[in-house]
Amino acid sequence: MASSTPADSESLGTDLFGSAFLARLEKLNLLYKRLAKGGQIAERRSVNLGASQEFADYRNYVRGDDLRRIDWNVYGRLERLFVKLYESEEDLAVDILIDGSASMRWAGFGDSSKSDADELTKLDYARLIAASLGYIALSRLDRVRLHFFAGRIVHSTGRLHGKSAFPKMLAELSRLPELPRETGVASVLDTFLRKPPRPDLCVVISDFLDPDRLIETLEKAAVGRTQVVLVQTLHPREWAPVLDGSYRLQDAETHRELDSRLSAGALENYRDRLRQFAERIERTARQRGIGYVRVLTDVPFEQLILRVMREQGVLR
Amino acid sequence: MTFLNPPAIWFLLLIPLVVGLYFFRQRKRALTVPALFLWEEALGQSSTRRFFRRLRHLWLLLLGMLAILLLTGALSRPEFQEWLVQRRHLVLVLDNSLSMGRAGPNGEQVLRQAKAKARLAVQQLPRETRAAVLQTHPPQVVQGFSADRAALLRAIDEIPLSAAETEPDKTRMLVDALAASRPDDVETLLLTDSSQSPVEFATPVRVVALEPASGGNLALTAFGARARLEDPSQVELYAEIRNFGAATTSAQFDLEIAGQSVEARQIALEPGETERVALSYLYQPGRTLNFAGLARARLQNTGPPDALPLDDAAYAVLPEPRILRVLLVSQGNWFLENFLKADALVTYELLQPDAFSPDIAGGFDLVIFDRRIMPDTQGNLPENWLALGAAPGELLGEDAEPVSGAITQFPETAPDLPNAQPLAGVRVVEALNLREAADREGVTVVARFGESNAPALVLLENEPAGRGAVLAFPLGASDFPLRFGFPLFLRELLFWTANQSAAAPTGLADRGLGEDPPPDWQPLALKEDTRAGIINSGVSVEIAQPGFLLLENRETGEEQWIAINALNPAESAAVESTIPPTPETASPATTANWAERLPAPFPDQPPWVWIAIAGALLLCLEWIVFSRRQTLPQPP
Repeated sequence: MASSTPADSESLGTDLFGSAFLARLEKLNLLYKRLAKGGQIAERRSVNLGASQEFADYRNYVRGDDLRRIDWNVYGRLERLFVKLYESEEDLAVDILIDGSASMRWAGFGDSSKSDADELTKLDYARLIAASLGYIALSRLDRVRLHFFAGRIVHSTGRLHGKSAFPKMLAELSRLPELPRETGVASVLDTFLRKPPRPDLCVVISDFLDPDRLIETLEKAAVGRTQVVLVQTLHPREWAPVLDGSYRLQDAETHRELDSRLSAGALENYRDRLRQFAERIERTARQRGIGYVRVLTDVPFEQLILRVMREQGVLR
Repeated sequence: MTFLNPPAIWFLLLIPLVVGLYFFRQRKRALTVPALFLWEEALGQSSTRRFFRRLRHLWLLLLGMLAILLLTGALSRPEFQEWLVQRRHLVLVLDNSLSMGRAGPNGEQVLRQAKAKARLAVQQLPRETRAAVLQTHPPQVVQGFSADRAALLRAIDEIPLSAAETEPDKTRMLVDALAASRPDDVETLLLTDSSQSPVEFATPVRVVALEPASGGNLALTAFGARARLEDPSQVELYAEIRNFGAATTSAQFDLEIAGQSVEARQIALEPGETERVALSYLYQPGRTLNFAGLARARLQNTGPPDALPLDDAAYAVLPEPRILRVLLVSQGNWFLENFLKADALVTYELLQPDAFSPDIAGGFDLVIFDRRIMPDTQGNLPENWLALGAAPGELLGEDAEPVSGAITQFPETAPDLPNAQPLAGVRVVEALNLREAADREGVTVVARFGESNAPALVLLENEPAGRGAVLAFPLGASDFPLRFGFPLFLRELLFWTANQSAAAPTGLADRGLGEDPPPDWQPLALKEDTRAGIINSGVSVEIAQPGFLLLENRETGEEQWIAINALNPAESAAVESTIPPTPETASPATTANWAERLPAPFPDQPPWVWIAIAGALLLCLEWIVFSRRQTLPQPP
C-alpha cells in the first residue's frame, strides 16, 4: 500500500479537487431511479410524487385520498374529482463502500516498481471516485456515508450532510484504517444489503477479484429499493500484463504461490480469463438492474467522472 | 580414437556455462499478482502439463550440452584411425587391379570405394604427417612423400584400373625403399580386395579389406579351344565355371563360334562349386564355322546380380588348321590313295620306293611306307613316319617269318586313339614279326598293341621330336573292316603320327594374367571376316596383356575389357576376401565405412566436419527455440 498514507491522500485530494473541478461536480446529480422515502428536504428531484410546491400531474380521486389535494377548480368545470400531484423533493441516503483489500492496494508488478510507484493504486483511484461521488451527493444535500471493507466492514463514517462536510469526508478517505488482506466482497455486499437501514443508493468500488460466490451473491442480492452501482476498478498492468520468463506468482491476498514460465500464449489466456470474468459480473449486474462501470486506473480521473460515469448512467 | 587437437577439450568448460545459463534462465522472479485464481485458470496448471513443461526445459538444457559436446568434439578433430597418428610418414598402397573394377555390395565400384577411403585417410592426416601414394598394377610410386594434401588427393584420383600383372615383390620393394629413407617412422596402409595374404612389408602395415560381395559371383575361370587330337577336323572347347560368391547362383551359359550360337545351357552352382564343360564341333570347310576366329563363352546371370561381371565373358582363339603334307612311298595303293585324297586336311604325293631318299622326306609332315617295301633309309628315318605292313629292319626279329593270329592285348598306357579299339579281336593272316621292337638309342617305344612276342602295332617316338608307327600287317591281310573301321583308325593314326597337336597354334589358350605370351602369338592375325563376326565394325582389338583384351570403339571412344581364354582365378576370387578380421584391419575398415555412407554433396569430408555441422545445427535449433520463447506479442 505504497500510496495510502493520509498525507499523500490529502495532497492528492487537494490537487485533484480544485475549485474548477468542484464547480463542475456541483452541476452533476447522482441518478436515482428507485422510489425512496425522504425524511429531510433535499435538492434531489425524485420521480416520487410528493408534497413539494412543484405541480406534476392530476389523477382521479380514490377513496382515502387527502381531500385537501383535490383540485376544486377542475371539479367546478368538469364535475369530476381530481387530485393534484406534486413532485417530491427528497434527500438520499448514499452509502459508498470502498474495497481496501490487498488486491486493491496492488501497485503493479514488482519487476517494474519504479514506474508503478508513480501510478495510482486501485485503492487510491477508488478513494478519488468515492470523494467525487460524495461531493456530488453532499452538494445535493444528500446524506453520505463511507465504508471501508476488506472481508468485512472495517470502518464506517457517520452520515455526512452538506457541502461543509466535504473536508471531513476527505479526511476520512485519507485516514485509512488497518485493513485485512482478503476481499470478501460477496459476503460484505450480501450482508450490507440485508442489514437495515438500507441506503437509497449504494456504490461499491472494488476490483471484484473474488472467485467465491460473487456471481451468486449478485444474482440473489436483496436489492429491494436500494439502487446499487458497482464500480470495478482495475489496474492497466493487471488488465494487460507484459511479462516474460519464469516467475513465482504470489496472490496478494492469500499469499498462495504458483511457479510458471509465462509465454505469450499464457498471457493471452490470462487476458481472456480476466475479460470473461469482468464481463460475467457486468452481465449479471445488468440483469439484476444493478449499475456497472469498469474503469482502468490509467483513465484520467476527470474523464472518468465527467464522461464515463455519465455515459454509464451513474451521473447526469 | 584419438584427438588431433587435444587442447580443444578445454571447450568442455563451456558446459558449466551452459548449465549456469540454463539455471539463470530458469530462475523464478517473485511476482505479486492481485488474483492468482485467474492465472491458475489461464495456465492450466495440471500436474501433467507441469511435468511436460519441466521436461521441455530439461530438454533444452540437454540440447545445449549436446551442442557443446559436439562442437568440442569437432574442434578436437577426433581420429578414428588411431594408427595414423603413430608415425609421421604414411605409405598408401592402392590395389588397382582389374578385380577392383567390380561393383561392390552397394553398387559402387570397389576402386572408387578404395579411393574414397584413401582420400579420407589423407584428409585426416595430422598436420605434421607426410604421405606417399603407390599403385600396385604396375607397382609404381604415384606421389612421393608430401605434405601437400591436394597433390596427394590428385594422385589418388588419377590411379586407373590396370590389367598389368601382379608383382608383389616389386610393390614390397618400392614400399621398403620409401621406408628406408625414414627408418622407424613409416607405416603402410594397403587398400585391396585381394584374398591373398598381404605382402609382408618391412614397415607396419594395415590392410583395409574391402567388403566382399553379398550375392553370387560366377566366373569363367578357364576357357580354351584346340583341335581335337585324334581328329583335327574337329575343335574342342573347354570351359570352367566357378561360383566364387556366397550364395547359390544360376546363369545361362552361352557359347558362340564365329558369331554363331552353338550352345546354351542353364547352370546353377553352389558356393565354391565348379562346373566343367567340354564340347566338340566339326570343322566344316567353306562354312563360317572354321578354325580361324574366336569362340565366345558368356554367362548371362539369371540369379542374384553378379559381383564381377568382368569375368562373365571369355574369348578363345580357335586353332588354325594346318594341311597335312603326306609323302606316300608306295608302288600304288588304290585304297590308300583314295583315303588320303578324300581328306580335306591332307595333301599327298606318291613316290616310288626306288626314288625315295631322306632328303625328299624333309619337305613333308609325314612319310607313309606301304606294304613291306621299306626303302633304305640309311639309318636316317624321317621325322614322322608311318609304316603300313612294312618296318625298318632294326625292328624286325631275326626270324623274319610272318606271324598270324588275333590281336588280344592292349597296353595299359597308350595315346588317346579311340578308333584303335576295334583292333581288339582282329585276326591277322600275315604279319611282320616285330619281336625286336624295343627302346634303343634315339627311339622310344610308346605302346605295343597285340601279343608281346608279336605286336601288331607299335608306336614310337623318335628324338628329338618325331614320331613313328608300324602296323605289322598290310591293309588287306586282316578282317578289320576296310569300309568303316579301318579308315577311322588309319586317320587317327595318321594325325597322331604327324604330331598335329604339337603343330597346332597355341594362341592364347590356357594362358592367364601374368603369364608370358607365346613367342609366335599373333592375335591380330585373326581373319578379318571372322573377327568382324564377333566385334562390330569400327572396333579394334588392342592387346594389353595375355588373358585380357581392351576393346576400343574408335567411333565412340568407348572401351571395354574382355577376358581371353582364361581369367586368373585369383582375380575372380578377389571378391571373396579371406583375410581374417584382425583388430588392425577391421577397425579402419569399419570406422571409415560410416563416413562413406554419408550422403552427397560432402561424402569425402572427415567425421569431425560432420560433427561440427551437427553441433552448429543443434545450437541453431536451441537458439530458435529459446528466441521464440522470448519473443512475446505486445498486448492489445
